[in-house]
Amino acid sequence: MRSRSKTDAWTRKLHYYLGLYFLLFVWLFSLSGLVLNHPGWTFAQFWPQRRQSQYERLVRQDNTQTDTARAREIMGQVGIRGEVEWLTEMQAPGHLGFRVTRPGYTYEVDFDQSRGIASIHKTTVNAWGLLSALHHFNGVHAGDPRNTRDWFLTTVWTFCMDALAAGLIFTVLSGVYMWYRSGRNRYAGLVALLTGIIASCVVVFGRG
Amino acid sequence: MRGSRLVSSLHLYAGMFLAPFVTLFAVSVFVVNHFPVRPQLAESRREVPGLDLPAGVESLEARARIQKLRPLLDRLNVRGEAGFIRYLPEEQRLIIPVSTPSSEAVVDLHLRERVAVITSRQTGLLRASVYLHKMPGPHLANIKGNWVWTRVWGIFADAIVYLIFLTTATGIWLWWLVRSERRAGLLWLTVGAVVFLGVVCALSI
Repeated sequence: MRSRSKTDAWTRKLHYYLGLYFLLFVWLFSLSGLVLNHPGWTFAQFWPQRRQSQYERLVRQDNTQTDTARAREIMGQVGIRGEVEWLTEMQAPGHLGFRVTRPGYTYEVDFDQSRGIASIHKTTVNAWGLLSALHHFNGVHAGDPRNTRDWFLTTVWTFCMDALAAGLIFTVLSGVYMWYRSGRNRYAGLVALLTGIIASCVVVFGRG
Repeated sequence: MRGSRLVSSLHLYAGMFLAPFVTLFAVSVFVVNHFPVRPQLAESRREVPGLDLPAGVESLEARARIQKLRPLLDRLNVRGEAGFIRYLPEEQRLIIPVSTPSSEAVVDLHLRERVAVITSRQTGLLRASVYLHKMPGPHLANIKGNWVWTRVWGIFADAIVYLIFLTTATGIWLWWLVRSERRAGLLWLTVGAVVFLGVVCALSI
């Protein structure tokens, strides 16, 4: 009996603590999800307001490395940070072309190996663009083995997403547990829960 | 006291309703981050000859084209959200991807021969969670919502976000009422905010 009340107390505490810890993450992903689902909202449109610039930098060469290592070396020399993405359309003989992304910024780098010059096209988006990018920035490209998560901070952000997902699952389960254990609002709570379950099943399975 | 009870009830009922949806979104996060769905082979293929095709469908704009083709898709028993339709003028073909949370189909419409080749497959529960997570989404806004269930889900997705805001706001209120938890709660809130701002700034500055 005593251990059960201890479990109840800790469940309640963790429900509070995890909810508060993840509060800003939840708000970020909720707001960005809402904005992503409404591309017609003019106030949140960021692509037409993007800023672009083009510049060139001289780069010291080292031909003994792999493409990824060379890309990282070039990025280090020209002061770019982010997730490297290899695109077929950016490949040309004698050139090393790649895209670097991080929330708010995109760099398209074309390194001319014969001249030792990197041409960089930089695109910057506003706060709405940053919000949108944070929502889906995970470094994953399905079915493309060349493009894997390769930046430390992408891994950190992906871990934050995973932790949030796990935290939300715990918050849901602890909420249901507390409702059940409290004994209050049994029927109304059950109706709300069943409505949610039925509605989610309908959208997943029950279409024409 | 009455106000607190109202806030408590709102938190409880909104939270209970949200529970399966939040779980669905949370599960899909793991799938998207670690088990991305790769293109898979079709499970079934069938041909339907002798079709009555709507005239001039190939010359229509994206949304109008889908609306014109919708009755044909219904007759072919292909239901779901139509994606971007590709028109191959030399071969006189229209390629129509159609998806639901748990299935994917491609209707290859041969306009000259009046034949449809339909390939389809079931995708499973995890893929369904990812599909719903990404729907309606920012892309192809001019054609999105051409299936009634996508529009219904769009309304649900919005409602879920508003209910999350309500649940978190009421949750903060309810926590603040518990004096004994204020100090520890503030600490967790601060740590979470510092981690959040730290990572976001490191990523974007």
